[in-house]
This record gives sequence, C-alpha cells and structure tokens, in this order.
Amino acid sequence: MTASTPPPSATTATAATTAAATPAAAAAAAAGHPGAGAPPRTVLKVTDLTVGFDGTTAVDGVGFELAAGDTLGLVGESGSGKSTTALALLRMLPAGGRITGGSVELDGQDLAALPEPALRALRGRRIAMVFQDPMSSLNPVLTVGRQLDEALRAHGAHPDRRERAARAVELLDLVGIPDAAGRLRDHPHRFSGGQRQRIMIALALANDAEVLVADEPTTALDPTVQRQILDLLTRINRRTGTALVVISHDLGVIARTCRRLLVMRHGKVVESGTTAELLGAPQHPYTRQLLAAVPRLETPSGAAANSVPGPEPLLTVTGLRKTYGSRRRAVTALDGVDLELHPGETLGLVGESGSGKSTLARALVQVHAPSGGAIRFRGEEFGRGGERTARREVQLVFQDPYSSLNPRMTAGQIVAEPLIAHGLGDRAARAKRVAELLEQVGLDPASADRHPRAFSGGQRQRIGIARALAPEPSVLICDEPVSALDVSVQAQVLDLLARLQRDLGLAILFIAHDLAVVRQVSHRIAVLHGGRIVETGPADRVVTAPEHPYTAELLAAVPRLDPAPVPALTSRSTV
Amino acid sequence: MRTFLLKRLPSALLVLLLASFLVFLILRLIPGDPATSLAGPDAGPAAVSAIRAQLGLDRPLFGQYLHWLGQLLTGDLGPSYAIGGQVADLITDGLGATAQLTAAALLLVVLIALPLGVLGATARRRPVGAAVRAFTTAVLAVPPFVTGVLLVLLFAVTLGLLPAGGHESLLDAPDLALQYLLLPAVCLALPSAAVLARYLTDGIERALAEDYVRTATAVGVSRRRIVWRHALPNALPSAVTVLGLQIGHLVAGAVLVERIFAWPGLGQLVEQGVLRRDYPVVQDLLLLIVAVYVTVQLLTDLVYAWLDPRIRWE
Repeated sequence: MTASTPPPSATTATAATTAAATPAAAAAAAAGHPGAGAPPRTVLKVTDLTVGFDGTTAVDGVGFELAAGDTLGLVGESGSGKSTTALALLRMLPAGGRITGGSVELDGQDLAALPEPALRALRGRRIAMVFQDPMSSLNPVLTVGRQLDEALRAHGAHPDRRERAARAVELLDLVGIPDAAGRLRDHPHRFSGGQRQRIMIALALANDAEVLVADEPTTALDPTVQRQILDLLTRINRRTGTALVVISHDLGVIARTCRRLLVMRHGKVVESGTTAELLGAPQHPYTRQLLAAVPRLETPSGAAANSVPGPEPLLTVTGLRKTYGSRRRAVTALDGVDLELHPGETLGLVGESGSGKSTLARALVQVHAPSGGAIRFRGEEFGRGGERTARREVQLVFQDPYSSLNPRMTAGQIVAEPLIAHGLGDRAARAKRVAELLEQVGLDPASADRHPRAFSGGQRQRIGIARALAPEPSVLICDEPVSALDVSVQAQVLDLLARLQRDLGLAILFIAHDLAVVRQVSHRIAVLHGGRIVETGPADRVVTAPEHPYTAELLAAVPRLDPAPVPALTSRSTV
Repeated sequence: MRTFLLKRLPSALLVLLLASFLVFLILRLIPGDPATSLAGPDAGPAAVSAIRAQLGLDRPLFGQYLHWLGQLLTGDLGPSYAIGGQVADLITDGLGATAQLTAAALLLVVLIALPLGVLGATARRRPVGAAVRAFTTAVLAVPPFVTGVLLVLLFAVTLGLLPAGGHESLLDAPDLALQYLLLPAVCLALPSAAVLARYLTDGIERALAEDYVRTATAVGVSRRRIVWRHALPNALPSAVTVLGLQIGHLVAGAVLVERIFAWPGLGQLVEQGVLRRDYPVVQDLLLLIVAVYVTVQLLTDLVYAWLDPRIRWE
C-alpha cells in the first residue's frame, strides 16, 4: 500500500481531477511528504467494531484501516450495517444503538471509549461527516452563513467574527458555490439540491478534518448532479489530502471515488480489497451476486424478447401542457408533450428532477387536469368519455413503497381498495381476487391480513403493484418503481413487471432516472427535459447513439463499474 | 411587507364590520332593556317609553345600527346610558390599567414559557422534566380565580410580601406600581404560559429529531447551543401562532383577574355595562377587543413570516 507513483490509471482520470491534483501533488513532492517513499500514516483504525440495537447486532466485528489521504468505500444493501458503521465512527448512533465492542482509533485515540465532551471536540475537527439527504440536513431557518459560522466557532479556532465570515466565503468557494460572498445571507431553500449537498460538504470541511465520512452523499440527487458531487469529493481528497470514507448502496458511486472497497452484508465485512480487484475478480459469492445484479448501461434491452407491442396506440398524448401557480408567476411543468403508448409496450421515460416526469404521470392518472393539449385513451379524448374508461384501465405504481401504503390497513385491504372504489364484485369475489392478485405478484395470499410494516421494501412494492393490478388495467404508470429498492430486490421487481406484461399484455410507462434500468426494460425511451420530450426512439438506439445533446449528457453521468479513475493516495495539506 | 399589509387590510376591516353587527345583535338578544333598568322597578310604561324615545331605542334596529356605525366612524362615541359620562372617557380611563396588566402578563407568558418549554424538551427523561410537565398540567387544570385566591393567600396573607389588591400609577411610584402589578399579572399569565410551554416543548422535541440537528452534532456544536440556536428557532414560528391566540385569552381573562385584585381596568366597566344594559359602553368595548384580536393576528402572521424565511409576505 505505497503511493510512491500514481497507478497508470490515474493519468487517464477526468480533466477536473487531474487539474486539481497537480499543484497539491507537486507541493507534496517538494515538501518531501509521504507520497514520496515512506508508507502513509494510518489515521483511522477500526478494530472488531460491534454495534447493538436493543439486543440485535447491527454491526458485527467490522475492521479496517484508513491511511491519510486514502479513499475507502463501504458498499452493501439495506440492513447491511453500512450506515450504522458510519454513524458509529463518530459515535452518533440513534437512540437505542450502542457500541458493544471493538474500537475506533483516530490517530491512536479510541473514539468508542472517549467521554462525550472530548468526543464533541473531535467531531467536525478531526473526523467529519456528510449525510444523505441535503434537503433535510441543513437547518431551514438559519442562513447558510450562520450555519457555517456555527461550525467554525464550534471548535474555537476562529475567535473573530469577520475572520469566520471570510473563511465561510472561502469554503463555499472551495465547494463551488458561485458568488459565495453574496450567498452567505441566503437560507437553504434558496439553493438547489446539489448546491445544498455542496454546502453540507463545506460544513464538514470547515475545520480541516482529516477524515471525511460521506453516508450516501449522492443518493437523493440526479445523475448529472451526482457526478458533480463525486468529482468535488475526489477533488477535495486530491487537494487537501482529506481521507474519504464513502458509504453507498451504489457500486458505481464507489467505483468512481474510492481506491479501496469493503463489501458488507448482515453487519459483517464479506470481502475487502482494492476497488479494481473487487470489481475485476470478486472472490466472495455475495460480491459476485451484488455485481451481477447491478444494471449495466451496456446490456441491450430485453423488452422485445418479452413482448411485442400492438400496432394501434392505446394511449396518445398530444401537445400536453401543464402550468402551476398564479397567472403572474406561472411555472411551466409540461410544455407541449407528445407521446404514444402501445399495448404490450414499455415506454421508458427519463429525465431529472423538475423535468416534469411526475406531472405527466399525474396527468395520465387524472390527479391533475392538464392546462392544455389532449390525452386520448383507446381513441377517445379525456373529457369526452375517454377519461371514464381510463380511470379504471390506467393505474399508477408509486415510487416509495414505504409512504404509499397506509400503515393502518392490511395488505388485503390495500389491494381490495380499488375494487371497492370501482364497485367491482361483492365481498366474497373481492377476497378471492385479492388472493389471486397477491399470488400473481409473488406474495403468499395468507399474508393478506398483515400490515405493511410486516413486509420488506421489495414486498411492499409488490403490494403496490397488486393494488394497481386490481381493477384489471391495460396501462401501468410506474413512477420510479424501483429507485427506493436494493439492486437485488430491484432485479426481482423488474422481473415481476416483465412477467406481468408478458402474461397480461400490459402497456407500461416506466418513469425512472436510472438509464441502465430503463434500457433494460423498455422497448422505446423518451427523454424529458424542461417539460419537453427532446428525444424518442428505440431503447438501444437512444442509449448507444443519442441524438440530442441532453441525452448524451445524461448518459455520460451514469456511474460505470469499470474502475478506471482510481484515485491515487494524496498527502495532506490544509485548504 | 407593505403589500402583505395592504392585501390583508380589507379582510381585517370586513371582520370588524361583521363583528360589529354580531355584537350589536347579541346585545339586543339579551333579555332586558336599558330603559327598564334606567327607569327603575316602579316606573310605569309611559315613563319607560319616554326614556326609550329619548335614547333612540324606539327607532328601527337597522337605523340604530347605522347610527352606531356613524358614531364609530366619526370617533364621537356619545354618552353612556346608565353609567354616566361619555363612553370615550370611560374607556380611556380603564384602558391604561388593562393594557398595563395584559402587557405585563404577555411578557411573563414569554419569560415563563421559554425556559419551561426548553427544559421540558431537554430534561425529558429526568425528574426536572417530569416536574415541568406536572406544573404545566396543574396550572392548566386550575382556573385563574382559584390561582388568584391561592396567590393572594400565599404572598399577601401568609408571607406578607405583596399587596392583595389595588393599583398605583406606574409614573408616580414605579416600585409600588410593580408590586401591585405582579400578582395579577402572574395570575393572568400562568395558564397561557403553560399552553405555550407545552407547544415549545413539542416543537423543540420535533426539531431535535430532525436531520439538521444531526448535522450540527457532526460538526461539533455543543448540545446547549444545538437546543437554543438550532432547534428553538425552528419551534418558534408555531409557538408565535399559539401566543397570538393566547393574547385573546389574556384580554378576556383580564376581566376576571381585575375583579379578584380590584384592578381599575376595563373589566369592571364591562361588568357594569352588561348588568345595566348600557348598550353603547358594551358595544364599543367588545368591538375594541375584536379590533385588538384582529391586529394581533395580523402581527402574528408578520412575525411568523419573519421567523420562517420559507414563508413570504404575500
């Protein structure tokens, strides 16, 4: 584990990282820092870390070492204990959680055994953390300047208020917020999601921490923004030598940022090594399984083999417009959208947040009335009879299997609800249909009287699909149906949707931001950008030969599994 | 902010107009009539109708209502029926004392509720937290006239620290005036303070569970600072709404508390006015209370938007 010379792959790193790395690397070489021979110092040493939650073990004997300036990825699915491990590093476990064994040594000092006040003095100063959701992780009523000020004064390094303000501007500048000085007085809601995550990173960097722990830092963000944030983390690692621990469920994210990798499952480390080794030649069966489940952009569409679309369109959208707000400050969500969906066809709809994807879905299931344009179902226009047949035949599958099921209803009641709403069948017929539907989506019909909390995320999504199937629809609108699920579960749900399409001849509008998934399941792909469809075409063609520059941009942002830009070890300097 | 006020003003005026109509009507629906009570139990029907004519009570109701509105608009409130003197003078005489009492009570509400609310949230699992909860429940359960008597018994009769009742001008003898003010103000403030403290506790607890508190912890901000500087500001907007509603209770409660502590405010005027069916006095007083309420709500919305930057004054 020496870093005397950067591995050859580093020379092919992206332009941004190379540019940022050069001055620091040169300075390090001149100053005779590690990086020029001696093995780098270990900053963080985790030994046999065990975390318990009210009797159950969430993290079970995890151990790793992190060298100064190194990058380490922790990957695993939900319940693997990766986030708990991250929180345990700063001993910030939620109520009920406790470190029951092992040690977390930061430069030889055991954080697991330190009293709370001493620990507080280290948090943010020596070891800092960036959290998943930038929307809720910043205080909504405090200005960004105030929050940076709080971080800076927490460790008393900058007693002068003006000095802190200057430092805050420097930090915002470092993380790439334009007009940093002018924006100190703005509140978080004035920033975009990506900018908020940048501000979170600035907060974590405020006191020059040696170790930065990033827990799912890009999960809530769009692919292009995700790419920018990952580039920023890499640039900071190169420039300041801050060691990174990145926690993610997404192997692509880790491959992009981390030199070494730890695969976790059920609270244990199943495999560790350099990212290149693990992605190239995984040893443990679970790592192989995880890698196999990751949808790859290179995989051609499997839709044509699954079903053949009918010739006549089932659902036609022409010139659809939707504006929100008052006349004076109207926001245009959809700006003349044209779409056709054929029976037995899966149309993938991709676009980033704010592109109008969900607005379109809501207009199709008649939650929102469009402001202009027409929707036709089976040739009949909405408003002239078409909307009545569509109300039963066009059904929606939601993104979040946790919040879209009423926790007080049983699975059976949830699935039966559309039947009651559409007046289909009597009590006995409904019970029979519910059992049939649960079986159809791969759930035990006997589980109908259990509540949503008794099901896993994937099972909940199956309940949501069963509910959508209840009134025998011909069109399913799936709004990000698998983005909240683990990759292995994702694959199962996608298989289910494919099987349902084959058996029932369903037309599916598959809305998602993950292009690899969309290519895999779709016959055609439509790209939505700024409320307009900028490109439509056969799935494989859109991915391999995009016609619109925006499509190309989306494709470039997709994290790949090829571990090409493995960052080299860097020495540390203050910002 | 100006556009916000301009936008809200018409609806505020409409509320006042509606309230004036209701106040006028409700008074006429109370059994009894000022002329009968003025004329005395032994007066004959002729004397009563003479008085009615003199007061203008024989005119159609709507005409009487319009006449009152005209008085309000010109600012000339006219004479009282039974109490004697001009209504405007009667109201100004008591207004100062009542305003003093409610303002003092309002200040106390905030001073009591803030620490109690924070303590309730931070000391949840400790005996202090349980004590805070017990105190707020007790104060809410006991009506002010009982609290008032208990306060007098303890501080005036037993300990002899404070006067049992009365009033002194704040300008002439500030120290004495404050001694007179303290017990009635505390008595008036306690129930509202308890309500506000509960809301604050709830708001702070919810804020403490938010992700941004985790962020502040991760950058090393101390627990005390997290509570006061990060969680409390998030709990304030809804607390201010509650406080605005409580000001209504304070004004209404003042009537009762003034009676217990012989405080020469508007409370006694309301009481006399109602008992003797002095329509002009009661009408004008009730409308004044409504006006105060409407103004407070307007201010509450302004303060709310100031505390929560996500809300705009529109």
